[in-house]
Amino acid sequence: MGEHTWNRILEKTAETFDLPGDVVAGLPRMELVGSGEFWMEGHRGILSYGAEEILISGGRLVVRLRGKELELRSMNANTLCISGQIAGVDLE
Amino acid sequence: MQWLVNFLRGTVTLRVRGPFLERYFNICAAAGLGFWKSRQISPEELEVTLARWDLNRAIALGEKALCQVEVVEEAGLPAFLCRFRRRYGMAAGILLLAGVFLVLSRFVLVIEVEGNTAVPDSVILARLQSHGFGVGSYGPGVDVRALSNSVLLDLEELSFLTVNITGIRAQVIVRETEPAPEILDRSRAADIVAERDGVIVDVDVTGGEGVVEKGQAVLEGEVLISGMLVNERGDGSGEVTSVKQVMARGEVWAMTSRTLRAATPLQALRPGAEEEQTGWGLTILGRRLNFYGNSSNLDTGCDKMVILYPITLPDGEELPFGLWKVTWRPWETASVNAESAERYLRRCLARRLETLVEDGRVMSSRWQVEQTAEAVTVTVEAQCLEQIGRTVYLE
Repeated sequence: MGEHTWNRILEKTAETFDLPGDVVAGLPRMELVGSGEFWMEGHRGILSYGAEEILISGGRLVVRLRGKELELRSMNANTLCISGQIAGVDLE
Repeated sequence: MQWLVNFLRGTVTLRVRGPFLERYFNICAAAGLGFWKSRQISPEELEVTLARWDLNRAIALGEKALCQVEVVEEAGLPAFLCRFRRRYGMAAGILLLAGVFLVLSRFVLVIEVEGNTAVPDSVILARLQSHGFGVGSYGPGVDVRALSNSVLLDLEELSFLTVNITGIRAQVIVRETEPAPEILDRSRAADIVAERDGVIVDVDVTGGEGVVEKGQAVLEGEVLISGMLVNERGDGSGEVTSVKQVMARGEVWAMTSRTLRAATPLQALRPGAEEEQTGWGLTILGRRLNFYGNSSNLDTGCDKMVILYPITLPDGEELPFGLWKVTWRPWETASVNAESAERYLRRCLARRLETLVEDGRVMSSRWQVEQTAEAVTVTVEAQCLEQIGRTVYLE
């Protein structure tokens, strides 16, 4: 069984039993504080970095942050924080 | 709180240049390097801040991500201390200072005396000094039990003494001996006699037999209340049937006369206005070192004034180190104002009179002033109402 399939099973299990997906299936957890701060736990790294657009890997999805003066405020292996004037968050 | 942690562990700001900055971020994050305050300068250049201890790894990871990494700024305590790493003289000074502190902290520099009211500190400290304990004593070498026993044998006014030594501070705790109360031996016979001459105003007999009456003049030593109780036959024959000795008790108030006299010369010696000579010295562990050589001949014919400038702790405690200044001023003869001298003598005599009369009162007083070219003499004659009875045991 591939990793992708196993993750799908965990995700469905969490959904069925009403369990937190970030804990059971390791899904990324995102938090937007107003339009100036974006927190993300369980990221898989930054794919692209710029002052107006940042792409972050979340495993099966990619998070695209759009805005102005975007900056990576802090980052470690699990969590990152981006600040700036956030205009939109897209999931791809 | 985070700023304190960052200050203590130290932070470093790096400038990262390269085509794949996000790759550098990911490598650092995967390696467990936390960073913050990321600031993009250009599309291929940014600055990040991280803990100082991650610096070497961050530089190595930069090479892995094909980025050029350089240190822009170091901050925090480790960076501050690193500035002094080549200052060997300073390091030696700090070590020397630490050594001095370590050595000096073994010696007693401050002595506090607690618990005494009647016995002055100076007496207790002098006695301790005579037994080898004082400022500069080696703390761990003090045998507290032997010391306290020796001092207690010397000072009968003390019932307890102990010394607590904490670092440079010695706390001497004492308890004074309670004075034994004056006990009247009621099993013995006694008379009450006149303590001084006077005219009796009131007699209050509570034991024995009163032998004086109001208005009677008595001399010093005369019996006022007798402890001899004489029983006579009741038929008026005057025959003594028995004699019983008891303790006479009571108070006898009388008008007394007191004369006090005091004099002061109108020429006095006082230190001159101009300084004759000044000398400086050092105080080290209570011992004085002078820098002015042998100038003790100035002590005769001069007023000598010593001002101490001790090193003081923030709590006000004085250490046995410091400077001292000696000033000698030659004596000069000066005339004393006669009126001031008279006022001074009157105050002194009034205080003395109050002390002598104690519980009684000064009913009237007559002052007399005599002035000559050399001196002023003040005399006071006072009429006082006072208790003159004094217990005298019979043999």
